[in-house]
Amino acid sequence: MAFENEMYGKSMAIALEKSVQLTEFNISFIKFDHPKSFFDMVSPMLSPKCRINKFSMQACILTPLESKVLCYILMKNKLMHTVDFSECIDKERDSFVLIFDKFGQGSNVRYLSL
Amino acid sequence: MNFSITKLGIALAENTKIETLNISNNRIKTQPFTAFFAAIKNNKSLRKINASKTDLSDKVCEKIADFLSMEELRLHEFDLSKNQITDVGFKLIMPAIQKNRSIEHINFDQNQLKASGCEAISACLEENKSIVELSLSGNKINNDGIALLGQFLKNNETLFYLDISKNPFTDQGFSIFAEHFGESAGLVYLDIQKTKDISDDQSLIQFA
Repeated sequence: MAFENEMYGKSMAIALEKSVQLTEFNISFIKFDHPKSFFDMVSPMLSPKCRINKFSMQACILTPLESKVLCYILMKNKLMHTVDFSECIDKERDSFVLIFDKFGQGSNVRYLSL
Repeated sequence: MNFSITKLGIALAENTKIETLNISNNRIKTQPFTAFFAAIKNNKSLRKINASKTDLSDKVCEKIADFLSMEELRLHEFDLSKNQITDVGFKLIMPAIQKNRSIEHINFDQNQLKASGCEAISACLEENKSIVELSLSGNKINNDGIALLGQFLKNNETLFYLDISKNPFTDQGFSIFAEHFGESAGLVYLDIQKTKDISDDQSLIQFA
């Protein structure tokens, strides 16, 4: 699946914002062609109403932009206890470093897969 | 691998939240891997580490032994399966596990364990009082190895699960193991499936 247009991220975000019962969210193997699609799609996880505590994004491409968004989510979403970044492609080789730093700074993640 | 294992180690050194770490299926080089285990030596939150299929070799085992020797270690489960640990590595790791009081489940499936490594495991389990589950499936345990491995059974009351399946020992070695098995106090699950030559002859009669 490729989210090539900005509107797809936004439509998913609207759905996520409405479904407060959702606790697990898996976006593994999705290729985000539009840089804003990723942010739009995961931004509901910043909401205090969000109940997502397991987030999987296996084999997705990580750029510093995605990393910064994820860092923000990890800091804000205190319910998030499980994250799966296995097989993610770190294009800049520095994107994971930003995320690793957050594990010691307010993130409540207890189960980490790489 | 798409992340720096060294930097992960630095991040985990002071971390008090992460309990489960899965780094399986990553090809990790020896030097960064060594640095990783040296860095997490003081971590007190990790309960479970899955380092299966990570190209881990004997050269990393010294640092793993240091890590496992930490008195404040809280690790319950350690998966080192599908790696290249030989008897040399087992001789480094097992004395550290011998003194360890937190590890309950350990998986050494599909490594290069032979007879002298089995001796080290047996010596460790004679004294260790925490390990309840040990998996040694798919190694290179021959007749000498299986005979040596059985020696701990009469002195260990904690281990209840032992998987020695898919190893190349035969009836001859297994019959010696079977004698020790009769003296075992705690073992309730033993897996010997698909071993090279276990047939329903003398060794299994003795085992029964």
